[in-house]
Amino acid sequence: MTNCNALIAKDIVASCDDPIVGGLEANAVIINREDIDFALVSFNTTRKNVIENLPLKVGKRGYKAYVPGGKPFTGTKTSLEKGTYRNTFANDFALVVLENDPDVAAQVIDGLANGKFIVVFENNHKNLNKATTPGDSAVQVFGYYQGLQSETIDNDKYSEEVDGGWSILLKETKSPKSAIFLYKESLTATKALMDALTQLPANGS
Amino acid sequence: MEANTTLVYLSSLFGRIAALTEEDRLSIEQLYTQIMPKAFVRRSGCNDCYKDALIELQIKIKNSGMKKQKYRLRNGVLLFDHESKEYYTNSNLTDKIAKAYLKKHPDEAKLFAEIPEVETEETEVEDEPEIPEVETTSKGRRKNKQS
Repeated sequence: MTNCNALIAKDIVASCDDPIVGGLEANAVIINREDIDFALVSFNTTRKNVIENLPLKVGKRGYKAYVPGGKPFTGTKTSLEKGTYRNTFANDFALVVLENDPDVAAQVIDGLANGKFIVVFENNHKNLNKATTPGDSAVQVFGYYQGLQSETIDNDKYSEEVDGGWSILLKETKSPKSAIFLYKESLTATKALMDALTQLPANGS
Repeated sequence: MEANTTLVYLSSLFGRIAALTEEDRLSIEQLYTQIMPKAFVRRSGCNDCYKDALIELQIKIKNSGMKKQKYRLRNGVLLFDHESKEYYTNSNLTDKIAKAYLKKHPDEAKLFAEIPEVETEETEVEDEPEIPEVETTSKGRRKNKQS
């Protein structure tokens, strides 16, 4: 095993053909971290920050998270964390639940309060004009290394933003990589893979 | 119910999609659960759920008949065939494709949630059935096309 190098290995440029754009699409997937079959997760053979398959344990599924509005998942970001020997990254995933009833409280909020999660989300920036692997900027994964855990959960009855719904911040700390992407062959295939995370098993469980 | 009869029945439901009865909806749900490799989700306020289910059922029956799929992938898995450049998830995987894929990539059996244990005559994957196309008459009724 060699020492991990801490060098940059690519020119820093800005694409004029496919300029980066901020923001996220309205649909994401939240998966209970314990439902991931880590032994079967496969990474790209050369790019070790690209996941190509994210198999769940048999009978398990991810859950869709839809947030409407012009700026869905506002507050989602990655930040550097300074360490004694090694710097790492913190991932914040912010979502709102625009519902409040006994089922939402029991089946969503209570779970989010105490569980560990992986979130798969889609950037507005797709990077489709790349010569190779076009579309590989689109789908990103938070929580793979350490899991996302709830940092804050608020239900402000007079909130102007969520109108009495739930406002949640999930946080992953000490992630060793700045970003993990989900990508397999094309953006279309990758979106199909993202959809395949949330299918109900045949027995309906 | 045979595949042809079911397709005609599904077409008749499609013809009156805006006026489905509760019995029709239950019938679609039962057929879906019986045939598709995933469960039907009855979402509140979803106007197109049953329309989508009918389309999925018609495609599934035309492609692989009435039998429930025997091969099923784990969620979060996408198979990519480098020769054909086709990709498969549970949404478009058929038993025939799964069997052929596993023959080429036996080590990827671990990515499947369901695989028939023994390939007996009964569990052997059949060829795609020949099913006559269903067309709509000018009066909006549906009938089997005579070849």
